[in-house]
Amino acid sequence: MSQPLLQVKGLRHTYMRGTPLEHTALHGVDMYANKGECVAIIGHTGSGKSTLIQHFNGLQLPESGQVVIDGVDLSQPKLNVKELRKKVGLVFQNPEDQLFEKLVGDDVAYGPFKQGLPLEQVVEQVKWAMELVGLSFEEMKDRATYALSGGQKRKVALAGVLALRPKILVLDEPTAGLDPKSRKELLERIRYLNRQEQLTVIFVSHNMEEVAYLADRVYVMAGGCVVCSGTPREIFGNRSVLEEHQAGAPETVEILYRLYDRGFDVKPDAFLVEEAAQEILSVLPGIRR
Amino acid sequence: MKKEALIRVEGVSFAYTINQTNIIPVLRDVSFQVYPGEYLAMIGHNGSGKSTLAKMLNGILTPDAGDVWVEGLNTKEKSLHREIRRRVGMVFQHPDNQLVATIVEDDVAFGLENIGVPADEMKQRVDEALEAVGMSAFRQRPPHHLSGGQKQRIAIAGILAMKPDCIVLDEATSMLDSHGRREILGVIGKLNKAGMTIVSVTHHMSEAADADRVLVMEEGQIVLEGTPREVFRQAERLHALHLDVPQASQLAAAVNRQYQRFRPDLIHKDEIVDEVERLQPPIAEVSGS
Repeated sequence: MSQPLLQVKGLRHTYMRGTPLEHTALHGVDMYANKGECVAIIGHTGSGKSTLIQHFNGLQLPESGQVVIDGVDLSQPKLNVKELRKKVGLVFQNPEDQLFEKLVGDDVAYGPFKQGLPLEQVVEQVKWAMELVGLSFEEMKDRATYALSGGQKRKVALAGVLALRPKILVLDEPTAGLDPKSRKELLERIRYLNRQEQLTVIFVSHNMEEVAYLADRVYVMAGGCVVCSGTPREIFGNRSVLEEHQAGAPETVEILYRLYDRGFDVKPDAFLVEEAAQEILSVLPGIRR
Repeated sequence: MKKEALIRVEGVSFAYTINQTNIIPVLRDVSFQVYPGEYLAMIGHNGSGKSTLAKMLNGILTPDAGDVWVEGLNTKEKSLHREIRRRVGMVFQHPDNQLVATIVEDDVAFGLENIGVPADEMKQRVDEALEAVGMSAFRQRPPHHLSGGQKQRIAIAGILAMKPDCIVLDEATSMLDSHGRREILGVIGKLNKAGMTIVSVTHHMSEAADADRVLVMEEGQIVLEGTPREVFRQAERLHALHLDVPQASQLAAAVNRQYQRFRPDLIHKDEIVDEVERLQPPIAEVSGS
């Protein structure tokens, strides 16, 4: 297999080094993401997820250990951070708080414009990015950002990052605080970007339904380390990891585990509703597997 | 529950004024009551008016038309606000926005200091409040080093210390991880059992499933009301309102489609497990054999 698009080896990070408040947030993290993959990072608050993803576009630089993105080692002394940030787009938690332009189009255009691209290309990239997240360019570009709903604002923020045409999209809690419909729409968009546009996606999430829906692979973090990784099915089928690290599981998985505990012969890793329904049907009388 | 209402909302309308020509109506002639001891959930998509309505319940916002009465006190009377807020406390979405002091116990005591509670009584109330949310061990800690769930528990303790009759939670769990959410829901459940009236605005349908009664908001009006089971039975209607049903309900419906004897109107995880057991033939009572 070729070199992964993103590779992290033995990454450590210590906050407030040399002070009484010194705190090691990452204790030697190893992980990777292949081109076109969708990777989820889960783990409860304080496990180091956010510190880890801040290394992906150079907001934090490796203290020890290695981060290599698209062949570029982030430890090198003359790192071109600008180039790196063209490759990796980072969407923070609650990105809608960071919209600052009056008009939607201007906000999305800010990044490409600052990159010094010719105006025509800026317009083209803005248009492309807005359509990708499901905002009609013609209809929305002159709308005031403050008068949008939470879900729409978040789409604008996402478009602002996509307009830079990154190779890797990194998202921190992409759907926290959204209502069910906005959540579903946004997840569908991210999935489309990943599956159809071959964009590599890495996201941090507390929502296991979301992890089940999007991720090819999952990393479970605890206490600044990766404690486990695998496909969603492997992770949700590994109860001791879920419980020990308080990672939580989709409701379907929790129900199946409870049935399993009562002695029913069900496979608890069936996290999709339809799959879980089949598992339940298989233990109802009069139905054979 | 035909008791005297704790909070009466009568014909309330409200609009946000952007400028002279832009007025956004948010609530339109809303009426409902909150009864002592009940657990009421309010759901609706972003922008449906549910948070605005929640802020009406203790006079943070006051109606343009109509009245809100808290135990007979009208929220329009500014001079009564202190009394009203002692009776109805509010927990907000972002844990960081509601902690004011540098030490946990000072934060919990903040409200009491403002109303001039004597020192020894203050200490006792703070003790009780921290005990109720399971945070006694943290009383000397600075709150900004706590996890989100712990911060929200401190915020709840600050309200409990005021000995309110009702706690309003405005998406208090939406920024928390699954572990933090479980912490808060555990505390809420316990308080409600002990007789506290709870009003919870939420995007999590599985949270609404725990309530006694659910109000569904759309365009500033209450469009659906009933027990969680009655409300979540109307999956199609909820989808049209950009809402969802808990995964447990989706699962029950999926099983029911292929197995008519399986009840379709289940909303809790445990109910699914119980239903599977109920349908087992009598001999298979000792399951797992």
